[in-house]
Amino acid sequence: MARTFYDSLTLNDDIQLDLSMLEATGLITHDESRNHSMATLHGTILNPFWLQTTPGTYGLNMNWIYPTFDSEHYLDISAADCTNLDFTTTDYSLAVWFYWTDTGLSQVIMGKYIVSNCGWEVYVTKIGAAESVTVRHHHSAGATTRTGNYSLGWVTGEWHLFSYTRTGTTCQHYRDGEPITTVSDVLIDPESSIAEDFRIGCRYTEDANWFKARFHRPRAWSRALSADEHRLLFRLGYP
Amino acid sequence: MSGGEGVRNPADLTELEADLAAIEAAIIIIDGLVDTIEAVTSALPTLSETGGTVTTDGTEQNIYINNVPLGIFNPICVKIDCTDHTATETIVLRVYYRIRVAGALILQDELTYAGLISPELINIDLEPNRFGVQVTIEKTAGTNRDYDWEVFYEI
Repeated sequence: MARTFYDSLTLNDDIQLDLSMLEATGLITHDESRNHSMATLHGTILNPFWLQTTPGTYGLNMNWIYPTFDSEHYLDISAADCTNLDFTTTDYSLAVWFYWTDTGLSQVIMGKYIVSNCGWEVYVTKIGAAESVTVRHHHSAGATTRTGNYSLGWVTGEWHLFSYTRTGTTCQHYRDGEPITTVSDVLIDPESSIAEDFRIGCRYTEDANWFKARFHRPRAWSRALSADEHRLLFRLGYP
Repeated sequence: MSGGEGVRNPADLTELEADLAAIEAAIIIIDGLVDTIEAVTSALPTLSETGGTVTTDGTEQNIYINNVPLGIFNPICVKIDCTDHTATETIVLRVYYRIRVAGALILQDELTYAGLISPELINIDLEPNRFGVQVTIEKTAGTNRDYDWEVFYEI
């Protein structure tokens, strides 16, 4: 029977994280990249809730009882198991499907960082009518403690695929596989965050900026994806 | 400037328009073919793999689970590394399948390993599935140990 192999798909070259979320149950979700980085679900009131996003495809619903309670839902991968996400000088790319609800606060989608010190993060914010996704690099030395970039139009209550490529000092945001207007600083390499856990759904301190959203299949690559590859990510599947 | 054979009426685009119409028609056909090819290639199974480490705790714990597959898929095998397992441990490995929509995961096979395991790598063959598959481990005696594992599946 004809088949393809995960590692022979060009799209999967240099993939460092692929939480395909096939489990659809339990408190661990596994990584299809060769790194086998297991992500653990956490919550102080219940846990992130597995939900069907489309027939046969599952994702997680985070902080779904907010604002009645702050249920503090998030996922993490221990620092020792996510050293391949310590992007510093290298180009890198990210992708995640999400469907978010505004809480009036910035909500961290994912990151491996310490604010104004090291690493990278992705967060979503709504200020007035401006619904933005921002990617930030954190720096511990010099006059600049953060360099970042953002794009607008990330409306609440809809599924969209956010994907991103950093190339040197520049970057590009994509929505549903297509490039969108990206406003960016001249990016400085983030300092190494190798000692930090990778987290989905909260601030690096695990005590704020909860992601009130459904999400599916976060992925990361240690290379720049091409525009065609971003388009392919979208065409390969609605969450 | 002198007139000659090379001079055309720039407003006469009839031929060009006819060519464009033909090109547009061809593009529509090609688009259809691309969609067909994409539908076929998207349906090709991809041999994938994942894995991790389970630290036993005395309860029945998931090693591998696909609780609600997209549809028919082909889980192939689970490999479990029992290098850390000693003569004092006993573990029970179980394989469950769900064989109808919203049915329960039903036990199909159960294996008990008491004492040293040699060779250390256990392989469990899996079978085609549509509604759910689960492989679990339960330590029933001895010390909690780490068991690395990996699973292959075509999906």
